[in-house]
Amino acid sequence: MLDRSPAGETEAVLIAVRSGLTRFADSRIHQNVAEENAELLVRVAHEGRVAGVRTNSLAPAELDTVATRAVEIARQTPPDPDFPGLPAPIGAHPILIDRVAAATASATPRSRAEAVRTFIDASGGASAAGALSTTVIGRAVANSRGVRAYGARSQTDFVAVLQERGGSSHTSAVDADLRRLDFAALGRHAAERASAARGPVDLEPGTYTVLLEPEAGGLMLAYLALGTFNGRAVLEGRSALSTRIGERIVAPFIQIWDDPADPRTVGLPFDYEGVPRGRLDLVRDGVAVGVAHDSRTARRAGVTSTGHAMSQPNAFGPIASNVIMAPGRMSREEMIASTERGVLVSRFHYVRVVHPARTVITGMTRDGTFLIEDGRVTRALRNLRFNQSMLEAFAHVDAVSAEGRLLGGDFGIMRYAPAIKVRAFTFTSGTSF
Amino acid sequence: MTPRELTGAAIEAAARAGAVYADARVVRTRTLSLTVKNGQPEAIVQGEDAGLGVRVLVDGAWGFASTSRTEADAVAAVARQAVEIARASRLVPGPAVTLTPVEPVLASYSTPVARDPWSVPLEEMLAALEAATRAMTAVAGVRTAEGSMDFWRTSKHFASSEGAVIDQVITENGAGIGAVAVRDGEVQRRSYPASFRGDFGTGGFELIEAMDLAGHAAQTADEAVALLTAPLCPAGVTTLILDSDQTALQIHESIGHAIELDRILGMEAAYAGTSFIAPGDVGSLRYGSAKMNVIADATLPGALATFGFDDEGVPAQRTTIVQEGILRNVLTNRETAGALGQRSNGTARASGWNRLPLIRMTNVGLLPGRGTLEEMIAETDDGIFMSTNKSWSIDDRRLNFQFGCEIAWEIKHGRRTRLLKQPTYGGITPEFWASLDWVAGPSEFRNRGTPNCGKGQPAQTGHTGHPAGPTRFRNVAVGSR
Repeated sequence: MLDRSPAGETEAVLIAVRSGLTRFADSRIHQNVAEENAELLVRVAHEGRVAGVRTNSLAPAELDTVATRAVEIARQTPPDPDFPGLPAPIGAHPILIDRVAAATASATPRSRAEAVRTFIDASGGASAAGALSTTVIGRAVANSRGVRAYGARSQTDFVAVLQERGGSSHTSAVDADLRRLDFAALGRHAAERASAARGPVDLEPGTYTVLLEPEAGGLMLAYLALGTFNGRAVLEGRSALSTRIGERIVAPFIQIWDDPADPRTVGLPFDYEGVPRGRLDLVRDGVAVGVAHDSRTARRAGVTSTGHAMSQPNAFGPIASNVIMAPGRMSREEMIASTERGVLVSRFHYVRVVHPARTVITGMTRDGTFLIEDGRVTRALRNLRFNQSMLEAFAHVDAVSAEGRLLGGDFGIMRYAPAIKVRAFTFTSGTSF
Repeated sequence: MTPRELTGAAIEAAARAGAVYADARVVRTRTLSLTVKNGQPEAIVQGEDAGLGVRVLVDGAWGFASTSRTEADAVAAVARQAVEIARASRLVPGPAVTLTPVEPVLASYSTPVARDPWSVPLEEMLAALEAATRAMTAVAGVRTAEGSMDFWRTSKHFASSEGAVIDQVITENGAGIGAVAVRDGEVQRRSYPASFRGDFGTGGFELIEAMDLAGHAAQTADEAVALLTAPLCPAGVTTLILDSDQTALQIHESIGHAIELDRILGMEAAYAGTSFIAPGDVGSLRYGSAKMNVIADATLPGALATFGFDDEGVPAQRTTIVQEGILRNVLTNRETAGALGQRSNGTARASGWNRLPLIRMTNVGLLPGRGTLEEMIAETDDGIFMSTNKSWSIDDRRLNFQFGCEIAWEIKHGRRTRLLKQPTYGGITPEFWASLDWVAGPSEFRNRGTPNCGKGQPAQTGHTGHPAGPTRFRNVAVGSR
């Protein structure tokens, strides 16, 4: 396709996906699906004008004409003075990556159903709802300047909610390899949490010490990656970091970085422009030290791309998609034991950004909110609404757990997140349910 | 192979493999997305996406498989895969799925289009966005001005083992502009005609022409800059007036999702959540005040969720949801409607060939009341008027919500007075709708479109519509965040 393109510059990205998802509710499989798809994303730059075409029709005749169609669109657009040109190869090319776990790739509807049955059998009779998916995704990037990168990876995602007598619990697991998920252990864990969540009581809204489980604190990492560590948002003055790079923004012992090669995450070490992606420090010793860039934002910022381009052309901007927060030293139990009075939050629900520049989000707690008194979890609580600046929450972190968990699902941003204890977190309303 | 041949082959292969029911959809979607910032093109992307999805029932359990490959051997293979998946579903069984009846029809539907978007020169579209964004950047204080247009043309061919054969061509589009003003770390945004890439509907380019983006650019930019120095919306309990855009999202979140019968039955519990409504509430639950009348209408001309048939072959229809404050019905599909002793009211839709049809809102909205927005304000002694959604959040049972808007005005003695920034309000769904005391009249009503509604695993993005006008609520907690 590159050889036949009439464009001055041409980029082709092929995304191929094979996935299956088994979904259950009320402890039975109610939806069970499979998908096979391959999509070609073509970007051309011709006489200073840029356009993109996406197609999943990969017949030879289509491949012959897709770049020509893109050029026809480009010719109708005004020149794009900010287009930096397609990236040249960086380092050794071709890049060839294989991170496919055989067990995930060979999962069948039957093996997924058996895993779901194992979970339900172990979960103690509560009503179970959730989903187990197995996915293999391949990404190939080639451009007319010589970039050649190909990678394939696998991913297993499991999520479940148990509902029991007014309370509920949640469990999730993400891994490249299906074999590393222990569905019986996940079922027992969820059952214990569901049992503890029975009979919730009200808590007066206010500012509390909170212990945010990885699922809760990790969602804040996803929102920070989307809108705060996004190079485009920084350049346009919409990010909290637009004027604060180099400043201390969170507690001094917090380290946050992005690295697809870290064994605690799953990802590919190059972006949708074929630019290699290594470790990018975002927060070092509490100080904002970096943001994600693609070629376009990097040029405007006068730096080099960090390899975080999403599919192009793209107006949203670059996203750090393998975010890691360094674990601390305390166990989760020690964090609870050291809390005189606080709230343990298992999970957030329906979080939205209220004030991007101040990183204020709102959302609800869900599937397990508990009161901590005198170093012990004493009661289940009804769900609470919070309004909280994410950076202020991370600035008020007193402790970080020694163990973290890999999280996926939220905007496709993988995160390795420990539990965090925040000494001031604001709940603004309660519920009677 | 033609779409008819593809679905026929898939259904035949599924039957041979043991399916007692099968349907197949060939869906081809053509898209165009334009984004212009500060007068310069930012992302111009055209797309084509096509494939086949096959859904089968075997021993009362569902299986669904899909592929972008449409060769004969791939079609038979995907049908057999769907059957294999359905058999696997029986390993964790529940009550056998039964489908409520629908008359199988040979039919077609096409969105009425006055000016086909695919015949409009790209230069004309981009010139309109360039003019609007340049007009906004001409206002001192505006840092970024963005304009966008989005187009979808979806050709769907549906066939079922019951004999239905339905062809549809749905044309959707929308546009919007936004100005971001930045000063001393303060960031404020105004959008027109709605936030998050604008407003959307079914129809042709005439929908976008009627928006007159350039004609609204200066006011949009002026308001963004004025917000930089506006006071925060004061906290308190007061009378709240919402514009039609925010009323639409209030309907979407606190009515539309709550009345989805799959949520009510717990089928979405792990992801989007459930509902505060129980199946037995239909016919008796007081949802709101007597001023509250809600319909779900997939036949509304020009609204975003208007079609001929849903993705189970059920005809588009209008259903009364709330009548004078009482819940009369909910959104159903062929699998769930039997739980209420009904037939499907035609809301099963999939986001594409590779997704299972789910219960999705059609055009869920209010019926008009009386008067105009200005009359509503004039008859309000003390309150807040909020416009244009900025943030939205609601709990997993659709009760505790909080919304933020881009802009608000204080109302004193029947007059709009000072501008207020970062307004938010919150409440509990039935309490809030019980406080509804005024729905504006037909002249203020718009069919608002929401093209970004998330639901399901794997994730689906749905297009929903919301007939809405300005509304007034008493004793609402407002503030700023």
